[in-house]
Amino acid sequence: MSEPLLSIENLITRFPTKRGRLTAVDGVSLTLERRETLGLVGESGSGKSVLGLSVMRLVQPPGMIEAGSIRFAGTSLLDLSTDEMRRLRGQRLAMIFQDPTATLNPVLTIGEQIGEVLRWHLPSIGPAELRERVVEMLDRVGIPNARQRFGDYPHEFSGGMQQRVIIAAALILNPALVIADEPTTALDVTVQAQILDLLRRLKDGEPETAIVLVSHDLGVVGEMCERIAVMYAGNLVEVAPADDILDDPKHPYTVGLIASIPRLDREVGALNPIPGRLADPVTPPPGCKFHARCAHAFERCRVERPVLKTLVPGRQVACHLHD
Amino acid sequence: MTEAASPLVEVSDLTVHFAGRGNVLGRLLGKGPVVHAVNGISFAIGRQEVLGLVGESGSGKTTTGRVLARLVPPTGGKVRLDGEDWLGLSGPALRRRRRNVQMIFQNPFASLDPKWTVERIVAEPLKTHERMGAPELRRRVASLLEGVGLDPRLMTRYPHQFSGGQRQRIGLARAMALNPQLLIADEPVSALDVSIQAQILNLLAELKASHRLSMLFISHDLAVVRHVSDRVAVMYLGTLVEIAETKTLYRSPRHPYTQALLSAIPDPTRRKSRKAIALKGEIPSPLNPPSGCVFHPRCPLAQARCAQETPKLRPLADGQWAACHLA
Ligand SMILES: Nc1ncnc2c1ncn2[C@@H]1O[C@H](COP(=O)(O)OP(=O)(O)O)[C@@H](O)[C@H]1O
Ligand SMILES: Nc1ncnc2c1ncn2[C@@H]1O[C@H](COP(=O)(O)OP(=O)(O)O)[C@@H](O)[C@H]1O
Ligand code: SF4
Ligand SMILES: [Mg+2]
Ligand SMILES: [Mg+2]
Repeated sequence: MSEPLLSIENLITRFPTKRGRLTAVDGVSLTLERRETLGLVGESGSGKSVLGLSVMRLVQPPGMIEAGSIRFAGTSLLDLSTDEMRRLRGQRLAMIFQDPTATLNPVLTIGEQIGEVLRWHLPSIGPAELRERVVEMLDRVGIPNARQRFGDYPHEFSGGMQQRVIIAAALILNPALVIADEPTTALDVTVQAQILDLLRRLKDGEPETAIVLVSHDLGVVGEMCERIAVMYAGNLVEVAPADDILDDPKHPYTVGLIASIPRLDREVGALNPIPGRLADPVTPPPGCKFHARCAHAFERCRVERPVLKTLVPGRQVACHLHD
Repeated sequence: MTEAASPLVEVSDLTVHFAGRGNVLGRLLGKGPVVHAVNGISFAIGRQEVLGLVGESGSGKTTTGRVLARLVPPTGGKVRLDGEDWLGLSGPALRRRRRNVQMIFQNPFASLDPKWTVERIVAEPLKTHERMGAPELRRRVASLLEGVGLDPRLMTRYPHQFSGGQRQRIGLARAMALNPQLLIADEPVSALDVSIQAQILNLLAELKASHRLSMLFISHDLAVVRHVSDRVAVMYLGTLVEIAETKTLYRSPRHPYTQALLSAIPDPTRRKSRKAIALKGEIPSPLNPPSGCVFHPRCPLAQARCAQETPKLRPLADGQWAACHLA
C-alpha cells in the first residue's frame, strides 16, 4: 500500500487568550486516503475549523501549530516555506468556507476572482484561454449562462450561486484535497440539496480529489461520506466507517449526539440530550474531557485521558469503556 | 360553537406587504416596489396545540409570527384571539390582553438588554402588568428561573455571562412570567448545537404541558418541527401551501413543494433510501411573485393552468389541506 494522501500526527494548535492558552486541536492523529470522502463532525467549538485551517496552514496568528506533523502527498507541510505553502494551496489543496459572502471579494467580478486562481498558478496562461477555462468551470458547477455571468459581481448572485462560484474557484486546478468547512450550513435545505448533489457529481467526475467535509450535521456527512471522524473538545473521540458510526456508535459522545437529533422518520417522545455543555478549551477537565457529561464515567475516566485506539480494523475509539 | 371548543387563534386572509427599496419619489407616491412577504394566509391554532410553521428563508414565517405578536401591522386580514378581534384592540384593552401572547427569538442575546441583570429582565413584564412587592417579585423570578432549569442564584448576572442555551432559557423565563396563552417561538433552537437544542426542546415540551400553552413554533428544520408540533403548516414565498396533522404531513405530503422539501433533508436514518426531488432554479423574488401558483416555475408537476390560476388551500381527507391544482 502506498502512503496515505494526508496523515496528521499528534497535531496541537493553540491560541493565546486573555484567559490563558486555548487548546483548539489537542493531539489529533488522522489519515486520509486518496479519493476518500471523510466527514468531520462535532459540536461548535470542538476544533473542526481550526483542524482544517491547520492543514491549510491558515491558522490566524497569534494562534499557532505548536506540535505534530502533517504529511500531504509525501511532503511535510509544516516544513514548507510560506511561499511553497501558498503555491500548494489552490493547486493541490483547497478550502471552502461556510460563509460565501466573507470568502468572495465584493469589488471583483467572479470571472476575475476565479481567473486570479488560475493566473497565480499558471502565469503563462493567455486571456482567452483563461476566460474559456473559467467559463467551463462555472458551467460545471451549474451557473446558468456562465459566459454572460463572467463579468458579474458577487452581490448579483444568490447565496447558493455564490457557494457554487467558490466551489468553482476551489476546484479549477483539480486539487488532490478539498477541505469543505460547513459548505451548506448557511443555505436553505433545497439549496443545500443542490450543492451536495453538485459536490457528489464533481467528485464522480474528478475521482482523484479527496474531500474532508466538516459539518455539525450528521445527516449531511452520513449521506456524503465513507468515513466519519467525531471531534470533541479538540480530540478525535471516534473514527469509523459512516455506517458503523450511525448504526452502532461506540463512544458515549457519539451515542449522545445521535440520540439528541429529532428524527424525521418517527416520533421519539422526549429527546435524550447530552447533559451540560462542551468542556472549556482553556481549562480542560482532567481525564476524559467528556467525563462530566458521560453517563458511563467511572473512576479512571476522571484521571486518565483515553487515547484513540483501534477497536477492530478501521474503527477507532477513545474511551476507557472500549479499552 | 362554545368558546372552549373554538380555536385560540384564527388567522384569516392575512397579508403583509413591505415597501421595498425603491426611489424616494416612488415611495412618496406609494408606487415603489412592494415586498409580498405574506399573501393572504389563513390558519388556526387550537387550544394547547403546537402549530409548526416551516419554510425556507424569506417565505414569511417570521413576519407571520410578528403579526401575531402585534409587532408588525398587517396590510390586510384578520386575527382572532380567544374570539376577540386581536388586531383591532388598542389602548388599555390591548395592554390587558398583550400579556397573553409572548414571543421568543432565534437570537435571545439580541432580545435581552445587556445592561440588565437576569433578575431585572425576568421581572420587567411582572412589574408592568402586576402589582407586587419586591420580596414577592424576587420569589417569582426565582421560581420562573427554576422553571426553566436555571439556578436562581444566577439572577444577579448579566446576559453575556451565559451560554446560548442558557440565554434561551432566560428568554423563556421572561416569556412565561405572565403565564401567556400563546407562545410564538421563532427559530428558538436554530442557533444551538444539537445536544443543547434537545435540552431546550424538552424544556419547551414541559412548559407547554405545565402551562397549558398554545404555540406557533417557527423553524426551517423539519425534523425539529416534526418533534414538537401537533400540526404543521408549510409556507413558500408568502403563501401557505399545505397544512396537516404532523403524522399525515410527514407520511403523505400532498403539495409538490412539501414533497420536495421533505425529500431534500439529509437524514441519518434514511441516508440510503433518500431520493431528493430536485427543484429547478431558485426561489423567486417576493418583489414580483409568479402568477398563478407561486410554485409553478419550479414545480416538477406544473401544467399550463398552474401559471394562470392561483390554487386555493383546499381540504383533502384527514384534516389535510393543500393549495395545488393536482392535490
Ligand atoms: N482565531 C481564534 N482565536 C482564539 N480562539 C479561537 C480562534 N479560532 C478558534 N478559536 C477557538 O478554538 C476552539 C475551536 O474552534 P473551531 O475550530 O472554530 O470549532 P468548530 O469549527 O468545531 O466549531 C474554540 O474554542 C474557538 O473559540
Ligand atoms: N421590515 C421589512 N421590510 C422589508 N422587507 C421585509 C421586512 N421584514 C421582512 N421582509 C421581507 O419579507 C420576506 C419574508 O421575510 P420573513 O418573514 O423574515 O421570512 P422567514 O422568516 O420565513 O425567513 C422576505 O423577503 C424579507 O426580506
Ligand atoms: S399548483 Fe401546479 S405548480 Fe403549484 S404545486 Fe401544484 S402542480 Fe405544482
Ligand atoms: Mg467551524
Ligand atoms: Mg425568519
